[in-house]
Amino acid sequence: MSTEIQHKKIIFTGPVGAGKTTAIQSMSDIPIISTNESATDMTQQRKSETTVAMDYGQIKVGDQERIHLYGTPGQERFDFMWDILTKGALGLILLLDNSRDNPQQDLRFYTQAFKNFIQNGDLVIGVTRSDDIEKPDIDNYRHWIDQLQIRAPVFSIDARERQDVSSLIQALLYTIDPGVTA
Amino acid sequence: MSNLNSNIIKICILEMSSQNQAILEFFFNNAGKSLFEETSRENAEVFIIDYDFPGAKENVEEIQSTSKMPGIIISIREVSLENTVWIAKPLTSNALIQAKNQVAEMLSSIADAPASAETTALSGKQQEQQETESDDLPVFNDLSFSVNEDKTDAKATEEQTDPLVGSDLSEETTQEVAAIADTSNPDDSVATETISAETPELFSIQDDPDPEPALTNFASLDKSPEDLQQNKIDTFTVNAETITEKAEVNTKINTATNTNNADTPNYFSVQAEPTPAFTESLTLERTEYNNDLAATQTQTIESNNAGSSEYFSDQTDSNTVLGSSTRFDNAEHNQEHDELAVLEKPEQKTEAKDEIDILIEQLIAGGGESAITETTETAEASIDDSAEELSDTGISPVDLEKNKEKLLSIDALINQNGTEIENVIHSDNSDISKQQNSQADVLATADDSANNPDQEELPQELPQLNDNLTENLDTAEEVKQDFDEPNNSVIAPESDTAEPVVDNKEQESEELLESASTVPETQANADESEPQDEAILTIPEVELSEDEELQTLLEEIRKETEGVNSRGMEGANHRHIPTFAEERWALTCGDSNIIPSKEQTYNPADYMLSTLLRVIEQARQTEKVMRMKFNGIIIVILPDLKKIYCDLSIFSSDYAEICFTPFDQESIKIHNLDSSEIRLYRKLIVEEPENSHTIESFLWTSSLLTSRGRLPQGTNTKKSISLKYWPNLTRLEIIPHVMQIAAVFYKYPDSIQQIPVKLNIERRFVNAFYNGVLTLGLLETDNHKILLLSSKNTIKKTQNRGFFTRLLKKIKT
Repeated sequence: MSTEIQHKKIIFTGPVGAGKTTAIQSMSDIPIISTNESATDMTQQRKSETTVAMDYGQIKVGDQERIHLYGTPGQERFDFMWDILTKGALGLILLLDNSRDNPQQDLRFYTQAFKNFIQNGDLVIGVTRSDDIEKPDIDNYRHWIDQLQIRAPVFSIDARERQDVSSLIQALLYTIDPGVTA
Repeated sequence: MSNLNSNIIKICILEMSSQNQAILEFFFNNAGKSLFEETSRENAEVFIIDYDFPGAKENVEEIQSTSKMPGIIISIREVSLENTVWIAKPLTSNALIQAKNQVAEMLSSIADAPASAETTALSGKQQEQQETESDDLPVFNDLSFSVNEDKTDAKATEEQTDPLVGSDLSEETTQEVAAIADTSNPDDSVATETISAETPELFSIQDDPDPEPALTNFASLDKSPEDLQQNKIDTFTVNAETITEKAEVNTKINTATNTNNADTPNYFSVQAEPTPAFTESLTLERTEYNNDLAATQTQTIESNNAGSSEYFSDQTDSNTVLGSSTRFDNAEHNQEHDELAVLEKPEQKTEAKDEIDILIEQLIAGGGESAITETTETAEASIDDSAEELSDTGISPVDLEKNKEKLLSIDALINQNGTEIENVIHSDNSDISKQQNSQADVLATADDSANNPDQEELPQELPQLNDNLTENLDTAEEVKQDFDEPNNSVIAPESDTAEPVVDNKEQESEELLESASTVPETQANADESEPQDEAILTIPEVELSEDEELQTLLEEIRKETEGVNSRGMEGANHRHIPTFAEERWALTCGDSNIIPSKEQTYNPADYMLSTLLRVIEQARQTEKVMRMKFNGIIIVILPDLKKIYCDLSIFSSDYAEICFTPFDQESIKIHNLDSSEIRLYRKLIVEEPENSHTIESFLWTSSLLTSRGRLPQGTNTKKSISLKYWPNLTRLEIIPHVMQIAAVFYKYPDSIQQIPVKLNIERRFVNAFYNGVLTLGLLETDNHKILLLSSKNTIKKTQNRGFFTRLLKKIKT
């Protein structure tokens, strides 16, 4: 019995410094391919380098099947990349940085930017740095997504922890098909 | 009372994280000792406080209401309070020095306040003092001193890029401090992981005429500020390129080991610090943070040296400043405590240069031929290899020989008596980790060298080195598994009744419920069975803190949960000696042989959980910290922090019994706490993370333990239910299939009766989940919405199901 070779992709998005590159790095079976450049704008207040086109990682499933992990650039001026990357994606993982000035605004912005995808696809939200910065807390995020009339799982995560990032992907897969037995 | 005349300000450290406390104490005792003198609160002129630390705000308010004592406030976010100076995190020496000036002015103005108009102008003496201070400043401004806690703060970044840092350095006035990168920030970890030619700044030095802004430093200065002022000390950093070119003594090798845990970064740096004044120092520094407890150990070897001036030419024309660094991520080895051997005694000055030469040669060779010998197939041989490689990198072979002996003796012990392995398991794991790390360090040295185009002879060795490392790691892992396997034997009673009886289900069930208390007893018996083999007795045990042990156990449960998810029902029903995770599930989800929904329900009002919920609600409404006290147990609810402190581990069998046993409401005492008690518990929450929980996680676990797979009385098992919000599953105790159950409840509402059938999972897990989300208030109460969701969504088999199954299996492992 032959198995159809599958190649799917999952998109990681979110504001600058939310941990997209790190999250992909945590899960990827290959050294991630990044298009990092030295930050020249406000981004340099948060980190020295930033993704300008995309990050790419891969989870190998068996010999031939792959799940491709793409990270979008954080800055809004690269938003033309977002539509390109999300085309045909299994789902979207939105990472929000709890230490930023206005995470609610970030949530609103990114859910609006990916509105078309979210309408038909599945979304999972990971909140980074919520272990260090207690406010806003997970309840706040739940109410915010309620206000935006979005239904999505929200988890506190540490992008460096494979287990946490894995939980985001698991939630995404089970949301798409809870009948999956693994 | 002011101590301005001596320019030294008496300062007391109030609420402060252990890490920042360590930094400050280090600063006060070294570079900042001519600025500040740490003292008690009673004698202090100025206080310094971490404003983000629990209880800090209240303390500052209290101080301000009772005195005019100026303070330095450390915080991520800007804090503007009267008589205080705000310092953005991460702490830097520069910021502390500037803060000192500001608080000195405040002290001065406070002292001069009664003098009214006359104080508008500074007295000649004061001017003189200020001039004296400002004269002092450039020297100290050069000291770079910071540990990143959060690079997100704009001002902190500005501080890092402050051209003042290092810009005042003349050729003759240089200071250096060892750099320690704190990886508590994910971005930092990225930076560390991508150490390569693109990140030379990590290894640049502060006396670089054009200092790189991204340097994240920790002051590790063995010289007094006076020495610095006298321009006696220069410190140099030499990169891998310098090593390759055999630029000799100007060496600084930073070997960073990151354990994937932001709170417990380990960092090692080896420095050779030659000075133009014919002084060379080789500093072997080990700074280790473990659970926010920082400690710095520094040993310095000094020797005469006349060849340091080459460094400047190397630095000025070098575009590829590279350090030899590795970040070795291994989530399974968080507990490791690597040891770097001390290379020499400080007083052996005449031999130090030779040592350094040898060290450099060995480091070069470390990535090449001598680093890796032939691939070995056994753990013993692997250890030999590790010993060789480590000795090449300067680590004492004696230590390695000891490690080898330990492993060999453990091997022997496995053969003799597998049940005794538990006694040494932590120690062995730690040893293996050391070897793995050391090998990885060697590999990373080679990797970094490979990134350097000038080191052409090294890359050809890399594939072999990499293979060897992988193989050795695998072998070490196998040995570790060998150690782990006897765990079941440990869990099973080793005594005369040790034969596991799996046929009698009743007995098995009883054993399962009693097992939580059996395990420690058995382990205790194993401990008492000493004396054992003498070799075993010589092994230094690495003691795990309670929190670390807890994390290890939780990790076990998590892995086992995923294993059950992978096996499905067949796996769960396959009875055998219960693992730790299975024992835990018996407590949280009930026994698999009982069908709770048919036979058992419980009345929540009879249990401690209902009282707990009531007190939490009361604390939230009144916004007061409340304490429950019963049966010698203390539970403190801190509503503002959304935290609960419980002095009994919620993962203990005792707590499980408390939750499961009907509760005597008369025995409980509930109090509102006063400010001193509140302060105490806020402190305990930080100091005892194993006893600190979010309200959500505490309620979740308590509800699982209370219900034990039963449903609350009156539950309509045929009614469709839906989740309003997902529980924060990354921060809650995990039970099997929890993600799957949550997804169904969230997207495809159905009855409690139907969901186990649809998902083909055990009912007890669905019941447990239902109890958890019910307690947390995450269920949708709007029937209209539930109906809408039910009609819209039905579980359909997607064409990706097979692929998803394979993918899930992959990412769960």
